[in-house]
Amino acid sequence: MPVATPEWFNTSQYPVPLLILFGVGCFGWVVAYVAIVRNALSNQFLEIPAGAVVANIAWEFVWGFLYPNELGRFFSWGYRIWFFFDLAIVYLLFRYGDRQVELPELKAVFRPACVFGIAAWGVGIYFFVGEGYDTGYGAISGYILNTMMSALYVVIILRHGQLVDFSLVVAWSKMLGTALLTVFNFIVQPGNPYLLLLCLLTLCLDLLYIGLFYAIKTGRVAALVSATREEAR
Amino acid sequence: MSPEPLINTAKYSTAELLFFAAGGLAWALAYMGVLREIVRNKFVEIPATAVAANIAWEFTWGIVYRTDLGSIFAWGYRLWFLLDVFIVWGLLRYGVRQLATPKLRESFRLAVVLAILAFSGTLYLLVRQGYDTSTGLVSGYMATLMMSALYIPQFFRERDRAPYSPFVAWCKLLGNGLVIGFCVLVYPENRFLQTLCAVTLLLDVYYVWLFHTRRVAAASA
Repeated sequence: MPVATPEWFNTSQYPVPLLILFGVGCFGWVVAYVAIVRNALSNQFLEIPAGAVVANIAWEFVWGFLYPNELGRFFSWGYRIWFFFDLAIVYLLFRYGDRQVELPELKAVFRPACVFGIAAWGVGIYFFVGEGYDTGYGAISGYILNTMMSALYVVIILRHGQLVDFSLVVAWSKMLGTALLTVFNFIVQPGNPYLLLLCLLTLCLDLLYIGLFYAIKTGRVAALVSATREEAR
Repeated sequence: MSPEPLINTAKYSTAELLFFAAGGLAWALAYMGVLREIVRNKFVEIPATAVAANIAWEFTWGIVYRTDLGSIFAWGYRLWFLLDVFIVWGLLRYGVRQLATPKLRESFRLAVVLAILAFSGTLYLLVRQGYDTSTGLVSGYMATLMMSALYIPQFFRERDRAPYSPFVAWCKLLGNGLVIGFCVLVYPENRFLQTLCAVTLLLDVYYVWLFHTRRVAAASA
């Protein structure tokens, strides 16, 4: 179970440069969230995969409100800020998210499935932490979601393919934000190879996503993407 | 040091062992049903990501680590692995059909191999880190939940074009239900595992319901 600390910044356990590294990594994700919301509003298409949105909001709720953060109270508030940004994304998920799926039958169950997904992830993460499987700042559960999200991003960009609906700012800021948190984990959790492998897999998938983004943009895989869309219809 | 028992009755009660054995048998039958469809119709009904996670789990728990249920069960895990090797073969050969585009064929096989390696690495380290039970069911139900979730959208996408098996649907539900019975009896305090079990069961029940509703609708149409 995570241990509550009364300090805003737990400098007795984590040196200041490491806390700054973690904070900057988190900020990378705030930039990504803002860009996701802005793009969704202008394109009426939510680029972040639905499976990742439901897991994310559940993680932020559990770690922002139900468990203390070992890094200090400041970071608990950071997680809460993520949660409030993510509320906007969840709203957009319910509004435009069903455009991620094409079949009418899937559209019909899309919203109930999202509600079920949020509840299931919320309870699952709550007990995952309660069982003592996580680190004191939620890195393991966070990276399980992150790996899944990065994999789903690769799938969704290939399936949807219209680059106008995806943001390069999001691609870079999520990769850089996660990469900085990965460096933090390599320094703080060297004895947890499971977490470190999740970090590396996420980084590989994020780089693959950026590579695919540029490949589609420059037309190198345009035929592939349009074929995918045609077949999906 | 005493030799490993065939069945570990010192740690597990007869009822617990029967639940697990019956569930394991139902899963073996489900795999055989999947294999039958591969041979008959050249179609792999288990979603590709779930196949990759499954074979990785069976390799990790059948070959690398050993369950403490007894040596008969350890060989049971290996039997699952063996059956799954044929399913993976079927996936590499015919699984591209799941993608809905022939243009991704080359990357599909590479992606499957990479996914198996990635899942194997993470499951191996998850167990080494001490996050699993001595029967492998925390990692097992993480993989199973993913499978049960992925089955539903794939069924929606493919049901008119692909021969999904009611036998597999029922064996999967029964197998999960019985192993969940084992989890409830043996790990009542592990709420995370209980949550994984509950969500998996709900998804499996929904899939079976969906399957039969669509079948009835198709028959009446």
